[in-house]
Amino acid sequence: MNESPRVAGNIIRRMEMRFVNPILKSPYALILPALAICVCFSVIPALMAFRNSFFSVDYVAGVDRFAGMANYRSIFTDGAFIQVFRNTVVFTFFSAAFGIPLAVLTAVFLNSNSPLCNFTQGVVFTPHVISFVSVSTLWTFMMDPQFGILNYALGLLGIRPLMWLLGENTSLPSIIIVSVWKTLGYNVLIVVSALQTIPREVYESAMLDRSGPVRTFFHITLPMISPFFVFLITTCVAQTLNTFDLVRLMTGGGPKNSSNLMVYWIYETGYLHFQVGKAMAGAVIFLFFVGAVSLLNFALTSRRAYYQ
Amino acid sequence: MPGPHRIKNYGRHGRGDYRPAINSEKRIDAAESMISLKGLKKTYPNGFTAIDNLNLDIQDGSFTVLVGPSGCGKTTFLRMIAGCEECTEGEIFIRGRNITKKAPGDRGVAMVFQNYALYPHMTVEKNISFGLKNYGYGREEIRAILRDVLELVGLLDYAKSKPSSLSGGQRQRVALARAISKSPEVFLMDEPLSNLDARLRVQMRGELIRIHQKIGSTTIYITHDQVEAMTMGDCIAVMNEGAIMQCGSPDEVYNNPANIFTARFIGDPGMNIVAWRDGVSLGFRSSKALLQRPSQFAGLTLNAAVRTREHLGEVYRYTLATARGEEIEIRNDYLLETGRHLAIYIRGENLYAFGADSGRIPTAGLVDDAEI
Ligand SMILES: Nc1ncnc2c1ncn2[C@@H]1O[C@H](COP(=O)(O)OP(=O)(O)O)[C@@H](O)[C@H]1O
Ligand SMILES: [Mg+2]
Repeated sequence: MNESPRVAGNIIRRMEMRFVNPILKSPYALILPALAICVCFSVIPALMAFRNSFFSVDYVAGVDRFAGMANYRSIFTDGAFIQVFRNTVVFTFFSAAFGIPLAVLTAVFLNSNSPLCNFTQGVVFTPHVISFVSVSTLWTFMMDPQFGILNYALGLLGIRPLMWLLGENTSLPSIIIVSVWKTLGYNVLIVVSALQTIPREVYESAMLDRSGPVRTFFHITLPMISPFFVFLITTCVAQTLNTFDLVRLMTGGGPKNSSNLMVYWIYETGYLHFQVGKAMAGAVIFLFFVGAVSLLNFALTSRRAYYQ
Repeated sequence: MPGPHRIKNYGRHGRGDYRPAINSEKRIDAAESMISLKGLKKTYPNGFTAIDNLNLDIQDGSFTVLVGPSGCGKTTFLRMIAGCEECTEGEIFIRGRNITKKAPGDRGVAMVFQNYALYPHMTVEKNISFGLKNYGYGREEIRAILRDVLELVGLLDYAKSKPSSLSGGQRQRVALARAISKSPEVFLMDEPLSNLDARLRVQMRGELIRIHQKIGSTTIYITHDQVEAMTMGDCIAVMNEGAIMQCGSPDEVYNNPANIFTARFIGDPGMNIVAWRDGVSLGFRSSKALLQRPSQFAGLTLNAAVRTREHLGEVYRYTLATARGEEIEIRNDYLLETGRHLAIYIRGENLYAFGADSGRIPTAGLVDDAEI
């Protein structure tokens, strides 16, 4: 009676050694599931995009013929692509340049355990769990030039009202503000957990070393959380480079492409204007750009960061 | 401003030319005490009182070991002196100056933490010079101090290493060098050796004593290690539940404990305590228990049964249970069978008596012929 489970166990073990172990010894077998997904949803589409960028494609008219470099030529002669590309770079840069320092400041405050902490934590983290649709609707209301609360607040300060999303000069900064606000909670979460890896005794040593709060922040806190910046900057840049929802929901890229970003442009060109070849040419260029930025990003940040 | 924190000139002394060890002459002429704690109390924000009405005077240049069970408030106490924890009540004086409200950096104290608390992103050299810069030392001075302290702890070759590439013992020595570099009047060490393996601990113990003798700063050293407490300090303060139970030389706390707690806590094994009568308890050291009644015996006869036996090599360690179920420990090289009933004898001069409040009372004439 006692024997049968053991016998069964032995058989299973023997089968395992015979059939499962050899498979597990091969690294490719282990990454196969992930690889399959990656090939289906990333590699094949990327290759197809690459192919289509050299073709003139029109699914409606059934056209699909080789066009050489024509698509690439057309996007570089088209002023819109250059502008959208520039917008994307500006958007990404400022989202990170404002978003990350703001996250660090907020996190340092949250980590100080003052009575306002729970409140702040709630306020800062809520946007992260709200959907982009709600966020966009909310901010569109607040940024309304006539009835919005932001212009009202500016009025109280004696500043002339802004056009916000409807102005050619203000639309891009407006969506930068929303993007920073939306991602702040997540970034703060990362920085807070980074801060919590610093032992209390290190701060006490700094106090005994007569290091004031500012000097401690720059010489102890920042360097010690620097490894987390690699992760933070990488995810932040990757996220903002790929922003689509904000543009789609708030401005539609307008006015006059002033707030249009790369991913929305690809969507617009390919699916609204049915210029698939041109959209794919843009996508290929963007893909190389994102790859280059990621490499650069990683190279720069990992050199500066210390690892324990 | 650098104030009184001038580096002592270690270089002037040769290796063998130590400052004299803390001796009795020095005690007499230094009438004022170095650190004086008056009515110290610490209540944490959660309402827990870790230290309550603590009074203690620590002599200039002494090496005071603070021992006590885990959680009794040793770390809290040390952090209060360092200024890392506010005092709820009471005052702290260093050399007569009231420093209760002073910032940690302005107290003339340095601390060595159990987990080293080095700055992991800085080299050994930077770890030490970071504080020196804040203290206002010039570049040349810093270089000289660095050389001195790194030589003192034997890490001259590691000046450019990061802490992550050092061993535990080396890291602790960096922490030590960092503390020494500021020539503190008071050195605080919170279980500095407890993260090291046994052999390294013995070695570092010796080095700490050597360094203390060389620089002569008043030191408060926390440990829960009996051996460290008995061998390192010239003064032992025994702490329990946030209060100092006794403070004295190692010899005194061992041979002349003021209360049951100290008697039980100091020594390995601690003192055996058995209840006697009228709330009075009697205590004796394991080594003083005799298995045969000597002629002309005056003292305590204790009837007990052998419960467990352990072979320690040279001797056996027995736990015995008295008729009331109290457990006592004796060491002897006789082989006794477990379960055996026997009487043990303790001479009157080896007995300690404690009153109902667990404080020590005189034994004279009390226990000429006691039997339990
Ligand atoms: N920040 C704190 N808040 C509340 N209680 C604390 C805090 N720090 C320590 N304690 C409590 O104070 C007591 C003494 O702690 P500690 O000084 O670290 O003891 P020891 O160093 O002797 O082991 C413990 O019971 C501990 O739980
Ligand atoms: Mg402790």
